[in-house]
Amino acid sequence: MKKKNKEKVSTIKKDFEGPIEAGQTQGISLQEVLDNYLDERNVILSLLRVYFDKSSTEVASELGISKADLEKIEKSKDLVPYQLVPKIAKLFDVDLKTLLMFLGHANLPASNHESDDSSDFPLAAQYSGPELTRQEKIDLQKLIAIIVEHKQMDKDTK
Amino acid sequence: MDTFSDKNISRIKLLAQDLRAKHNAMEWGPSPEFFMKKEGLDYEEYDLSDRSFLKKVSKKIKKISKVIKAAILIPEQLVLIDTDLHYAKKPFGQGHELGHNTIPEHKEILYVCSEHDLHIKVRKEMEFEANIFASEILYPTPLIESIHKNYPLSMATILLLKERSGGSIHSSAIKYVETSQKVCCLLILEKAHDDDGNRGLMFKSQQICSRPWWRKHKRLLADNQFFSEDHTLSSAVFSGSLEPFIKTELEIRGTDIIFQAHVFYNRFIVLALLFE
Repeated sequence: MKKKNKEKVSTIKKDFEGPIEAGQTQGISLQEVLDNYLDERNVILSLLRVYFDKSSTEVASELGISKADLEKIEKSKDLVPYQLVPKIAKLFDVDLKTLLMFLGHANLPASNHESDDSSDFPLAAQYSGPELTRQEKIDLQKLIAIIVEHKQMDKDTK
Repeated sequence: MDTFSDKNISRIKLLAQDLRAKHNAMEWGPSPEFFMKKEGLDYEEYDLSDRSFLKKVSKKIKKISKVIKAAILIPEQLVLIDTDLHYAKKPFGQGHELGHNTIPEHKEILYVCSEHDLHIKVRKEMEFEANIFASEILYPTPLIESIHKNYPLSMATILLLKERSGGSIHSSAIKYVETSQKVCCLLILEKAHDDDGNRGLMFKSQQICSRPWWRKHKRLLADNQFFSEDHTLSSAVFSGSLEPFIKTELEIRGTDIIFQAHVFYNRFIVLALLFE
């Protein structure tokens, strides 16, 4: 069982590591790739746990939850409580952004979908009106880049 | 972990209280801006509609600038607030961004990922928690309890809370009623016309009830209730009174209770505090 799971992790790693880091998934969306390989995203937690030879009790204890809760989360089709994701990333020493994407908490950044020269400033914004479109998200990133640049120029002048 | 559970709400409130304790700021006075500075956050107000500032920017980007009210860039440790944001809303907006910087998992996630790239469920949960944090920074539970203990149930106490917290009259009134252990209710109203064109007041948002009110009366008024110009609640608005608020009485159909009503109006909003 453990060997089979380890092989599955290796396959996922081999198939997706490069393309994901390059911001591309060989013509199909990351969503499709993950959906095709993983019927239930949360199986990643079980795979990581088995790959790193940790018991449910150990992992639950390190995440600050009960063993029963961990098992429930691993079997659930719902998103892993987002508050646990940074802890899981630290526990298994995996990249937080990639883990967020694999577990379904985050999409590939809007700016990665097309050639775009704006710098990527991770941000949280409060805005009025409806949900931003993909283009608006890219424009927002550009706007923030301009503001940061403007602010830097102000600082340099002073 | 249920984001909306009492346990998690208490955890977020505790983070806000810990931040106050860390900076030895357990009394009224220190603003969210004070805490931002203490935490090493750079705070800037930008006129995002300023033509000189955006003169080299495309029309599309100018368009997006109009909807952005506030933002935080965790890696840059920078908080931006639009100068156009109404002054009464700024403290809460600042407290909200401070929350993203203080709640550990927000800080870690927003360091690597923009909020708008997150799943909508995650975003809603993070926004909820940041709002709880902002509310607790502006209205710390121990200080609110002291207000309830030492001052009478009155619109005057809500105005006092507004002054001490630096929050808006709107959020101060909501916080006051939500945390009250007395039977009271807040109606948030606005000027409106009925189908026949008559002036009056109608609900701007949901009625806010204290827990004792909810246990005793549930919701006594229908959400589509219209208070005509000659209604006792409307008189405070249409009489042109210069008093900070008007004290009146209100009888609600279906009860044999005469409620006290304190009505505040500031040209933007009408707040009616009802109590027995």
